[in-house]
Amino acid sequence: MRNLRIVIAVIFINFSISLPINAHHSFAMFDDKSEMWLDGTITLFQWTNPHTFIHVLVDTRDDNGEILEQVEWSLEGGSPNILSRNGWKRTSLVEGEKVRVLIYPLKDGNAGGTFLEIHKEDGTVLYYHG
Amino acid sequence: MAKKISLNCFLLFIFLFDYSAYAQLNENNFDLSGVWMNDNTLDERLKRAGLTRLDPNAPNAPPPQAVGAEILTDEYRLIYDREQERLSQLAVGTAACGWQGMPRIMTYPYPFEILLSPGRVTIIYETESQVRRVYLDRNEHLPFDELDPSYQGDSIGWWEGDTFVIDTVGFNTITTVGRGLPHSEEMYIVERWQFIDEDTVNVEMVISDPLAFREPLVQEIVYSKRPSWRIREYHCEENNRDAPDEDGQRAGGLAENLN
Repeated sequence: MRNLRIVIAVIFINFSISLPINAHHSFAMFDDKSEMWLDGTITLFQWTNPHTFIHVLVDTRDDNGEILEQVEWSLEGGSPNILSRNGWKRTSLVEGEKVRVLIYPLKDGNAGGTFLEIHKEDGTVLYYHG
Repeated sequence: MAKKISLNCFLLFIFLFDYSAYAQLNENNFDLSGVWMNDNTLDERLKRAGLTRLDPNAPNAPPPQAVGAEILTDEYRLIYDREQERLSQLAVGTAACGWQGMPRIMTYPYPFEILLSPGRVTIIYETESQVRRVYLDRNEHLPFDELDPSYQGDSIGWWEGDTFVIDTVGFNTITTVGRGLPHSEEMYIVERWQFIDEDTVNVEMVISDPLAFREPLVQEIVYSKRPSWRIREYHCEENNRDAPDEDGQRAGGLAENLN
């Protein structure tokens, strides 16, 4: 029965006039052809609607490990409603923790994007979708 | 003691009375009550497949929808074009908040909960806590002078075998039917909630509008029950960083006010 259900769901998608992936707004401002990794430290985690936001402070260092530049990235993600059903909790990220984040960056070149995967130091991976 | 017995008799009477009202719902052994989710959303399809978004085998996003502005009458095509021109002045990704109303609320990627009570089916959507009330205890819509244009309209419902039918009229024109397509106050929607099994319904929505559409729009969506889910809160204005400011740029939300 479950397989039948999936087949029916797929068939009917083609007849639907509006099935948003991201309910609130178009994600056309993000470049989904350019996956990009950020290594940094969480400075803000907003567990809010219509979107969650994660701020990550990323250091650029010279060959001696000295910090040349620090940039704070603003990363937008799914609502708490969607993320909680993908295993997230309001306590999933805390300020100060180090993370590796896979993102689609903003097309306009600003330090922002939408996050896809958050890899924590303990090995846990949090996914936006799936 | 006598008082207690008479109270019990009264409560029993109320119980039996209410049960008789429920019975018309249950003759099919299908139960509308519970938490339901749109099975067609990207996240639900990925979860069924056990995949994540970047998996090479991940199902694609839904294809571009076939139905667009060509279904609009000339008058409503002008309304559509004017609105698209206004939106084109805003920065990409900006989005204001607002109620979706019918029929868009049905396609949102959030669940809804159905409650049954005598003469009534109540649908509580997670999205903006919007509520639809479907009346089983009357077979006519409200008279015109009481039919105030609204986001969800006036709904009456009845069973046809395995299918729960909802007929809705009386919409305001603040909403679109999706993809920016406007509609008039004359829009009417017939939904056929057909049970596939006890936990799954296929909802066919036929959306007609003699003023705005050249032909009815037909949407079909599969929903299934999620007994372990609880309905959360979702209010778009909580922290809408994507709201357009007066220059049409992203306003930035409430970042400084939140922890």
